[in-house]
Amino acid sequence: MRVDTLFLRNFRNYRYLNLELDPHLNIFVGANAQGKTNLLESLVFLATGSSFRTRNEEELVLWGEDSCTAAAQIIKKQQTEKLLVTYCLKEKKKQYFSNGLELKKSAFSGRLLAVLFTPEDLLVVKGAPQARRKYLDEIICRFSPLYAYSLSRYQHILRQRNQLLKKYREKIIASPELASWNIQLAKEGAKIIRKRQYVLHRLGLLARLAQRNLTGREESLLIKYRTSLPKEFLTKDDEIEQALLRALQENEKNECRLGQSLIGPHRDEIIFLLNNRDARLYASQGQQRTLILALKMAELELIKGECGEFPILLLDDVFSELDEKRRRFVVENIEGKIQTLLTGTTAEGMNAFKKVGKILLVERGEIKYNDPRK
Amino acid sequence: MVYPESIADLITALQKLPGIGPKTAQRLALFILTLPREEVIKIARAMVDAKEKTHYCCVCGNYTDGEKCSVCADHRRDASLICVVQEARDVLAMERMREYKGLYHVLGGAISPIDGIGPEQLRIRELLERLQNSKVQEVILATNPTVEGEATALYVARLIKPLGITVTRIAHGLPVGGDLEYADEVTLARALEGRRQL
Repeated sequence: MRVDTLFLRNFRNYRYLNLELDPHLNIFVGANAQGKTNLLESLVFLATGSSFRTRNEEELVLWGEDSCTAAAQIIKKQQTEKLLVTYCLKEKKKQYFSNGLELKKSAFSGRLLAVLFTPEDLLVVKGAPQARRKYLDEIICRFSPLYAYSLSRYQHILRQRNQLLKKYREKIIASPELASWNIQLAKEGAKIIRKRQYVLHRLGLLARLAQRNLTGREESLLIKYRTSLPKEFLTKDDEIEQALLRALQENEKNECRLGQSLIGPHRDEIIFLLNNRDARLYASQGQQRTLILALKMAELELIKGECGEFPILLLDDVFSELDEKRRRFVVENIEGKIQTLLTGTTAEGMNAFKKVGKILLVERGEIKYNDPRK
Repeated sequence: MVYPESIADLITALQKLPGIGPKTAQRLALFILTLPREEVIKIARAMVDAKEKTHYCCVCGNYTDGEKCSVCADHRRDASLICVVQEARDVLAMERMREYKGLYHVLGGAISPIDGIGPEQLRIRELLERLQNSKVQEVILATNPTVEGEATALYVARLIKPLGITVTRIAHGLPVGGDLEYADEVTLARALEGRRQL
């Protein structure tokens, strides 16, 4: 999959942009606050229908204008498709189009597949368990609409159940009302757990391989999914469902006392073990960086496996942070097969790439084609 | 343009109706002005009459202007079968089908802790009273397939089962006449989940 042309109108600091992209490598250089990340943001906006930087979409509209548009012509499986998203400030409404046909967000997102790698991704390793769950959920949602549906239904059930626990506390123990939420929580929860285990297993194998190659076979990575269930490796939906139901019953008193749900995928943990030690606690900053790089490389392969095509890769300010060896690894893995857009303050280190793509200078919302290396 | 106060009031009043925005409300208000006086009084009276004369059936909770609704009063209906729905308007939908010959029970909503609706706020106690010493053999739970509707169905089922009455849940899945190729992924997956042996 690749993006042929990107078109922006009143998007962030771009008043007008019509940019032809190189099918392989596009390097955006420029000083801080010139609009490099805005470009990547617009592509994520086209891929997922939302921004990765803000929930407040008003920020996307150029100051003083009343709407913004991002559009792209993409090529997937040898066919071209025109994608377009507009956000209207007055109505606070987004509209999604594919080849001129208006679509719902759920039908629009995923038409362009993109893997984004930013410095903040380090939080997936370092941060709270929630960051890891969110990371995994976003990956799965990209190729499984059913998972997205289960997830939103689960969160809805959880909100209702928590409200019930908070309001009635001990009075609700063993009541049929609580039981009717338990049954639903277990049913949707089991689907989520099984899918997460399945995807994490595949992602884990790919990441393990990448980590080995990145560290010259020195570091062995193991990714584990830890549930709030007593028995860990259940593989069938109904087994997990039964185990969840039992755990809910056993913990009912506790949950009622605390007024919140303690059992279910919303409390599960994803653990990265580097040479059998928890990477969140024991790995150095450098090891954590390598780990997230391995994860991203695995993500590319996973999407290729699930969707039949490589996504595009967006590297925001991370390439220049890598050392020579890791840069070479990235280049070997993507060159010639994955369209890459990367940003940096200088073109330093970009000579790791054998094939020269486009080097573009970003200056105050405009793009200049002259090659800064000359 | 600024409307005279009486017209502005009418527009505001009409906007309270579902599906009526400012533009439609304005169009309706101006149309009402063009009608003969008797016509306007007829419409207004119909609204007040409907409001005053309609209430809920004392047995099932359906709309009626008598004591019992037309379904409950009809002796030809199969009294061994009760279909439980969320709202009175769901009865109208079921009746349009002209296939169902049993009785109804309207709950008046669905369990939703966030909205402060628990089983006590619904007509569940009335349902259980109805089932005591009755010849009901099957209760069909036709609440919506939302999280709240499902919770309500599960709750009601749990209370009815000990009475030795068969409890069933309506199926959800593909729409009739719908081609597989046009169904969205989620509907299709849910239909697959609810598959049965032939």
